[in-house]
Parts: sequence; structure tokens; C-alpha cells
Amino acid sequence: MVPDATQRYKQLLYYASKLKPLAPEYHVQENKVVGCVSQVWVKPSLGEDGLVYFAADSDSQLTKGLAALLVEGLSGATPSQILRIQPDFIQLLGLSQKLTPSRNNGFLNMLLLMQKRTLALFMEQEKRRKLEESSSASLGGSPGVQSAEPSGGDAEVAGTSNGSKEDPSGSSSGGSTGAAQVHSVNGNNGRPIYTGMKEKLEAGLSPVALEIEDESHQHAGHAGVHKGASETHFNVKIVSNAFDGMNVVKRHRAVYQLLQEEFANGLHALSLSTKTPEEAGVSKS
Amino acid sequence: MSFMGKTQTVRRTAHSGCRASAGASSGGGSVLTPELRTAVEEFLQEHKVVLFMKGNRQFPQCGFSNTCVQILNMVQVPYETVNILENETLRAGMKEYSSWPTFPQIYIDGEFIGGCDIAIELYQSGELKELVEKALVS
Repeated sequence: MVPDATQRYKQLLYYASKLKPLAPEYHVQENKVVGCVSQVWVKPSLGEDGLVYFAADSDSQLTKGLAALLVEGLSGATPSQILRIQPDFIQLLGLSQKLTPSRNNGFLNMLLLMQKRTLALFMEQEKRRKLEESSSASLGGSPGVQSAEPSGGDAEVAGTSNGSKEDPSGSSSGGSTGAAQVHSVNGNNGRPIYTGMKEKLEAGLSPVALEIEDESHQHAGHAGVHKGASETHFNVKIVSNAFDGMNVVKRHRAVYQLLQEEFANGLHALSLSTKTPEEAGVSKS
Repeated sequence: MSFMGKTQTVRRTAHSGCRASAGASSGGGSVLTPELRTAVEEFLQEHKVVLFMKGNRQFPQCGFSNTCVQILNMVQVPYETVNILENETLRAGMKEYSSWPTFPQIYIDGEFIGGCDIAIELYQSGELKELVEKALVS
């Protein structure tokens, strides 16, 4: 790491100058970083190798440099590596003192957007793959069986997960989401928070085992939760190799990071059990 | 000025237009102003064990918060509680400060330890008592 703070600053500007420009048609709202003083766009793409590559642009040199830093650092990683990044590396870069609070905030938001768009991209790809698999499995009969889009056939796949539809093929076809075996208690009838959580945890942690239980009824009416809300409290048990080497706080943070959208949409609390396969006494798969 | 008092005046200078109650860190700006951050840091330096919770130790207003209160009571350590329900700015600010979206939150010797699940684990393993004892003599 460059020792001198001013030097680091200059290095940022250097990165900015080397960043490949992002075509103007990608300067769209969904790629735009929120909460940034300047305009910044980031766009992930999935390579043939399944790795994520980023492109970014900005109208200010400094933020361009920060974006370039993230592009350099994050490109060529797998989706789950990207999703598991904790923001504390920002401290390690030693930039925080040189940047104003709003710049620091913008940088954090850049990372968050990159993670969010990566997840969306990954979900889209997974959905496409599942559709291909289930249609080639040729079950025939009624088109309504699958979790597919209402119009059946080769419908348009939405950019982010279609929360209202449940995915029944999760446990039976096994192969589509890797080794995840999902046991869901309380039945799944298309609840958005539950579905969103399941998809994101599967994508981000490739769990060996995953259990999600809605315990909202046990907390109904308690302070800070508006009455009548459902899907507010969940008990989640995850067994994943991704937790290897992480202390408990890190593990919980990794989970929370994947579920930011859910927390913004009404998820209120989680009881978490986060184990590695060895700790859970489950064989690694 | 009390910690609550300080954090409530900070609210007036905090970033406007934030949905502090939702604490949505993925959305707009930051609630954690430098003033709030400093106030929190100072408070954490003054008190060895702090529980940010819903309600207070006599009347916890959530099962998880209550569990933490009971655990801290059993460990028999003096601790401060902060009722984040009384202060939306603090509620959102602490989520950012700790990088943790939920309450309760336990701090020992200025360091974030975890929420209720972690407190239970640490208590059962005996680690919590150790952490607390170490903090009290430091």
C-alpha cells in the first residue's frame, strides 16, 4: 500500500485516468450510485468463465479514481466472493482521512451497488438456467406447475428476483443451485421476504444446508414492529464452507450484508445459526 | 449533557431526508454524522459494557433485548443500557456504526461484540465472563 496519504490521493487520480470509459447507454438509473455527490455509474457483467467484471464511469476525477479502484480490485472474482466483501477494507486502504465524509459514503455506496447489481445479474442468470433445465426436463402438462412467469414459455426474465413467485423446483431438482438442500418449515406460499432471503443466501453462501423459519407470530405486536406485519422475524440456520475462518460476528455480518434489501423491505430481526460443515457434523459436498 | 441529550441535538444537524427509522443503509445518505460518531465513541469509552436495546433493563420491549439483559445480569457486571426506541437518529446511526442492522447490540470495552445469538453463545462458552472481566480491569 502506498504509505503517504497525498501519494494515495494522486494514485487515485492516476487510476481515474486509466479507467476505460463506460458507453453512454449504460449511464442509466439502475447503474447509478445513490448518495454520491458526483455522478457515478457501475456496471457488472458476467464473463463466460462465470466471473464478474466491472466497468464504471464518473463525471468527477476523484470518484472516477475510487470507482476505478473498485473495478480493478473486484473484477475477475466470483459472484459469491463479491457478495461477501465487507466494507471494512475501505479503512485498510487508508483513504478515509483524505476523503470527506460524503466521499467516504459515496465509496461505500459504490461497493454496495456493485454487490447489488452483481447479485441481480447472478439471479437473472440462475433463473434463466432453471427455466432452461425445467423446460428441457419436459414435464409436459400444465404450464402453471413451474415457478416460471405467468405467460409461460420463454417469458421475459425480470432483472431482480420475482419475489411473489415461489420456486418449488428448489429441493427436487437439486442440481440447479448447487448443493443446497432447502428444508422450509411453515410452508412456502410465495412470500417475498422468505423467497428473497433464500435466493440471496443460496447465491451468496452456497450453503450445504439452509433452514428458514418465519417466527413473526412469536413477536407480533412487540415494540418497534408495526402491528400486523408478517415476515418480520426469522430463524435462519446456515451451514456453509464460506464461514470457514470467520469469527461469529463476521459470519453474521456476511449474512446481513446479503439481506440488505430484505431489511429495507420489512425484515426486522434474524436469529442466526452459522456453522461450517465440520462444526455441523455434516460431510463437505 | 447526557448521551441521549447529545444524540438528540445531533439529530437537528443530521443529514436531512433520511428514512432513519428504516435504517436503510442500501439507500440514500448516511445518518452517522461525525458529531454522532464522536458522541457514540465517547460514550463507549466512558462505559465498559453497553447494551443498545429496545426498552430498558426494567422493561425490555423485545424478547432478544430481554435475553441480553438477563445474560448481563447473570454475568453480574455493571452495564449501561441505551433505549434506541427513544431516538430514531441513534437507532439508524448505530446500525451504521456497528455495521449491524438489528438490536440489541452489545459493546464491551468500546468494541462491538454482537447481538443476542452471539451473547448466548459467548455466555455458554464462558467467554462473555472473560471479556467482561478483562474490560473491567483495563
